[in-house]
Amino acid sequence: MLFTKSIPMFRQSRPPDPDQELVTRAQQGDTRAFDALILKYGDKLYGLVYNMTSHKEDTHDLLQEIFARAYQSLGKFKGNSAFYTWIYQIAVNLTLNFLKKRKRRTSVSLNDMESSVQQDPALIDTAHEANPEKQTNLNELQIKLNEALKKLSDPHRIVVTLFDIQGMSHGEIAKALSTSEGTIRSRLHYAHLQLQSALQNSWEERF
Amino acid sequence: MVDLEIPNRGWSVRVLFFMSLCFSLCHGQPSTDSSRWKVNFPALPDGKTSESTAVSVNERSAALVIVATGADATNATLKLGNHNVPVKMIGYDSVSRLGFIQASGGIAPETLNWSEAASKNENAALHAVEGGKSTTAQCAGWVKQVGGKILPFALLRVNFSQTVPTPGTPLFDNAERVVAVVFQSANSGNVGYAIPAEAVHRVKRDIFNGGLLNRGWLGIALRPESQTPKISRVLPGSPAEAAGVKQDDVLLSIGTRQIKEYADAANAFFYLIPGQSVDVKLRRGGEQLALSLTPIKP
Amino acid sequence: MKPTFEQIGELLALKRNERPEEGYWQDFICEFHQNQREKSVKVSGMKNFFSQFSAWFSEMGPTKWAYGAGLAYAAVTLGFFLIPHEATKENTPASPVKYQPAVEQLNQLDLSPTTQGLVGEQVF
Repeated sequence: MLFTKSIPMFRQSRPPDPDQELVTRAQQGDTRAFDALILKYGDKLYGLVYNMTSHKEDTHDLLQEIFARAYQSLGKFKGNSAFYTWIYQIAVNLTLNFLKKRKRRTSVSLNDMESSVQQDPALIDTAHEANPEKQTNLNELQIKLNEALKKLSDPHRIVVTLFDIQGMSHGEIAKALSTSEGTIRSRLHYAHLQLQSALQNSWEERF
Repeated sequence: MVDLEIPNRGWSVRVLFFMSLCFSLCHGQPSTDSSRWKVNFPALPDGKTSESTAVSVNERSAALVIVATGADATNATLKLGNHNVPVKMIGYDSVSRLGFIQASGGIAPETLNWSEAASKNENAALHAVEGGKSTTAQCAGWVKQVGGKILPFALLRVNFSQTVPTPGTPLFDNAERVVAVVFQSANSGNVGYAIPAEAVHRVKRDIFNGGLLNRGWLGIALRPESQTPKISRVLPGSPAEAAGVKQDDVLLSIGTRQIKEYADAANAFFYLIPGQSVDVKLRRGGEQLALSLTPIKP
Repeated sequence: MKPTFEQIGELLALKRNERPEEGYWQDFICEFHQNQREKSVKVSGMKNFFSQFSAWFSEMGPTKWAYGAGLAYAAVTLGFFLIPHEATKENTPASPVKYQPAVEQLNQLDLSPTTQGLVGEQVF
């Protein structure tokens, strides 16, 4: 029996993984290299998980689990995708599983982060001192936005978090969620429509 | 501007001056703009190398550099453009990681205007100058502990509009005064930590007068885990005991620095100078006391 | 008047700056390593226990079956008393065990996560 192998006309070349050196060192047992990866992606993963769970303690515990899972599975990471994509996949899967299991909490805690948001100098409007009313309106809008985000379903909230908040591309999100770009685009469109209508009244109050 | 320390003594000096001037002119005066200085320190055994830029301190033609942990402070190399310039370390302090270097060949950094103390305004607008280029930044408050560990003195947290500049980069306020020097990145976006001007002045004072930082010692013990800055012990025969400080007194202020928690006290103690008395306010029971303490060398 | 998609995107992009408090990641890394150490101690402890237990069990003759039955009975009885009943469940709220690092005083500016500072009373 003869087997013929088709050779692709074009090999798609992937840019080298910027984390390759750190990953290799971590796979060889260098814990500092893994620490560096935690520091590099920690804030982004924190943003992802917190915007999905709306709960600081759950976010902390989930992040410990995400990095533990990544650390334990590091030997199986073959570099078929960038480390960044791989750890995002772990984070998305663990977060969505967690949300499915979690009972609905009655206490609202996404807004307990509002105080730190308001104190974050990077977010403080430098014109605040001249226009404190503008800052107040912005904070109220942020609160309304958080409420609207929580009302989205998990699959819709996660695409908004990854695209609009984390700044990932459609392609990167599709890889992280193991779905097609088309699905991501239509979920985003729907989610934006929902947010648009939820913010309508608050938007009018600004003017 | 090229500054000569030695008086005009003859041919060798004139030749040196001419050579320095030519060098400066050919390179658009990089030798005098300390923001273009690249200072490298080799790694200690099991350590790592460190790179810093430099800031003029207006004294002895010296410039300030940052030496990261694990680097050998005694073997600095200075690069101006493509040229290596021999450099001497006047002194280095391992607490603040500040070093003071002098370049040879009459190359001296330009004079800069220094503030006495960093601004206390949380939203203070700053700009960093590295390699002759300016980047905007914003002061974002004091950092007294990092990772649950209390710092030996408070640093400034700074949000930069771009990547955190190289350690040693000066931060200027709107009046073009140096208020702080970049220490390191906070590993979080474009946020960095900076050493405030007052810490630089404190360290420079001792390094230029003997080469080592001499802390001012009072004989007061505190516990970092305590919620309030309560004195857990007063050491016998200490300046604190002599001034009448007692165990369980709660610190309220040291000099002009208000003390609300342990980290504030650790910061204030960094600035004590042996032999220079300081006014300390305490709470004892329901009473408020004001005492004058004179720290000594430990 | 509705916000445009672009305006919503801008509002959402502000949340990009949200991050945990100063020093969070240094604590996080300490806890992470502590958890990894505890896990590896448990795993090696269990491995040792099972290898010793199976060695002991296989060295016994037919009496091992009597031991086995006795152990099973003891396990069931213990389980009966230890498994919480409905009435007591509500009275014992779960308290998460969290790693609490000691407050350390650094005596030099070394901000790397693995730096060890001094603990306990500090004299100034």
